[in-house]
Amino acid sequence: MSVRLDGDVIRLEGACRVEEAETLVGLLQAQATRAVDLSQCRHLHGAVVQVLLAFAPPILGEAPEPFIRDLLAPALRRNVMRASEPSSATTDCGPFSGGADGPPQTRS
Amino acid sequence: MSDDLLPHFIVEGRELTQAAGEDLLALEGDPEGAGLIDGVFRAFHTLKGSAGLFDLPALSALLQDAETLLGALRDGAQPMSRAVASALLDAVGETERWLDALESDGPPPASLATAAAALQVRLEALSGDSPPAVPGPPASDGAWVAALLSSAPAGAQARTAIRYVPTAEAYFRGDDPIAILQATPGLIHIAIAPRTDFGALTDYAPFDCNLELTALSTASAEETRAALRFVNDQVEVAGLAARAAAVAIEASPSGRSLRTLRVDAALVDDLAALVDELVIAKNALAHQTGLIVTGGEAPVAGRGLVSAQATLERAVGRLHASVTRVRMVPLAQLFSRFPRLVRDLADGLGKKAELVVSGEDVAVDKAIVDGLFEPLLHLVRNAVDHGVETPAARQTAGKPAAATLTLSAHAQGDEVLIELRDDGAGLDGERIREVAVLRGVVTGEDAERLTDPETFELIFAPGFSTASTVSDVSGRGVGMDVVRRTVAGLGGRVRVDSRRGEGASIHLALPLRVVLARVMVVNVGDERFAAPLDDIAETVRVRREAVTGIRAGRAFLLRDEVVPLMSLGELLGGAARDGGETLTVLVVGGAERRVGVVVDGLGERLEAPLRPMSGLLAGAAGMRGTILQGDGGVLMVLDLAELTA
Repeated sequence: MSVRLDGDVIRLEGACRVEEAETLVGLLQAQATRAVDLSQCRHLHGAVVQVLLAFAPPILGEAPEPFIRDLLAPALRRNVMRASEPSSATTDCGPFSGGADGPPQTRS
Repeated sequence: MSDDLLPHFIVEGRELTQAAGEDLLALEGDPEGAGLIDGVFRAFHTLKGSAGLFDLPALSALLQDAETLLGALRDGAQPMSRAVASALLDAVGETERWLDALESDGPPPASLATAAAALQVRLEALSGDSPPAVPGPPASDGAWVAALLSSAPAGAQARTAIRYVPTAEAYFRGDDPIAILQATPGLIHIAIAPRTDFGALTDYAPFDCNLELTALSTASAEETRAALRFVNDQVEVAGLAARAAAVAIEASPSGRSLRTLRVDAALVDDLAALVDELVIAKNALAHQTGLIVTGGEAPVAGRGLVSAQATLERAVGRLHASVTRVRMVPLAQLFSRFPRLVRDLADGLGKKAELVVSGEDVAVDKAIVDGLFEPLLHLVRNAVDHGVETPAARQTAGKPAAATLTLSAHAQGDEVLIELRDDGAGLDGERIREVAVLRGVVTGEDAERLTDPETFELIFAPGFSTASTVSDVSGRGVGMDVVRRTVAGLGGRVRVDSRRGEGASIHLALPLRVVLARVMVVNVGDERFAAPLDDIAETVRVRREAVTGIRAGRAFLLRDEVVPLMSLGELLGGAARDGGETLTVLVVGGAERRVGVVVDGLGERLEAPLRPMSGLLAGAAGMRGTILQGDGGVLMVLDLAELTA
């Protein structure tokens, strides 16, 4: 299952395969304000992820799949934030060289 | 580094090279062969990815070039030709030599890198142009690591940073970069960016891959690289732990070569089930012994014990049979390497030859399959080099220009009979006699009297060679004698048959299963014998004064038990010669009948195939058989039970 337009929202459902990138591009090119809902999404092919990266639509919904919910969707949302703000905007985290909360360096 | 992965690479590598070689041969005959080119491409692609794990830059570069050429073939940019097939087959052969070198555990010799580089030049020339600029993500200074870490949530316990830049054709090739990334272990953070700017979205090309994926992982750099090995040329992996982790890779210290065996999973399940049965039997035994200790009724406990013992015996017997079965592998593993070899050899000699293989389903002990490669290789080389005539000579003789070699096997009783037959010129008895006389193998008079079969036996004499020119194929006259010795070492025999003008055939007979004798070398005077370890309960040193004479014999005290003492020298019909203050004694026999056997010294322990006594020695008393030592020497294996009876 796949890409489905539901009002102003594009729903990505099930496992979205490579050929679905084209459909998604068509829907986003037709109307750039459409949002994308991932709440029924189990897998996103790289080509589909790339469309979300390029067109940066708002990402809605929590995917049931932990990989998408916890890793992929946050990365895409950060990208949307970057895309919608002036280019100087950076992430809200402290600098890498930061203090005690910086990434711990484990001993080898 | 990835030492634990190396055995897998070697096993997998052999399967892949074998498959690639077979597909290439088929492809040469049928350039349109469906799926063949894809199979070869996949094999090389996987090999390349795996080789990338082991710091073998020369091999990786070679495989990369082969893959590029295959890509061109697949896309139709390059037609299939004999030159292309030869170059690719050479790449397969070269890869196999690397695998051999890796298996023998030393660092790969420099000659391999040189050969790989030379072959690379050929492959690149055939690809038409220099390889496309696929290799590697753009060299980075590590800035991406800092950027990645800055986007990660604070407190992330990452050990490894990954940067994966798939090539633009990734989607066309069927790769899903997200799925590949998802398969890496321990991911805790991902960042996604385009590799290059997307440009105008109205012209967006949905199937051109344009991604730069970076990620943090809690897995080690090795695990991460292993998971990403299929795209290793597009991946950068940085360890975030102290950089000291990146110490040089030291060669594995053991001198033993790796021996691996692929086993049907069903057999392993069988073994596991049998082990479960053993555990149950053991528990039953524990229950019975418990009854005895607590003073239960003796007959009841005894019956229980008997039944427990019977269960145990059954399980052990089946376990033994299963383990033996695990060691049996089909001869296909061995035979399938030869068709390609025959083609290459014939090519190099300006001849035409084809090898037909049959009986490759026969399963034989892995040790035999492994040990037979070298001798068979030699025989095949000999057949192509000396047996097969040039196409012109064959046509003059009224034969087809292309020679046919057949390599067949069938099981007969406990043996496998392997035959290598060619339809070449056959052995030249006259010439063999001449050379044998010339080399001093036989005298002129003796040679006159030899029958043809006896003459053919001469080729197995050390240092014999009938080739008038030394070719690089069969080399010098080291050969048939080594073949015979190697086959004998495996417990087998070799025989040659020939008909002038019609061809020669070599017959090998080998045991299907190897009976490995575990022995200890013992000295008696200047002689060395092998004593089966299974017969020896223990070895002890006995002080001379602890030996007492009992009537005609002698005895000594071993843990409060009087044990009769004999001398091995005497048992073997020589003199009893036990000088020195302490005697070295092998204690043999079961608990109810122990005997001490005095020897002059103990040597090393060996494990080698036991060969039964044959010919005149077949009836020799007190001997179980012989084993062949690494240096070609023969050791008699004692039957201590019979000797001391």
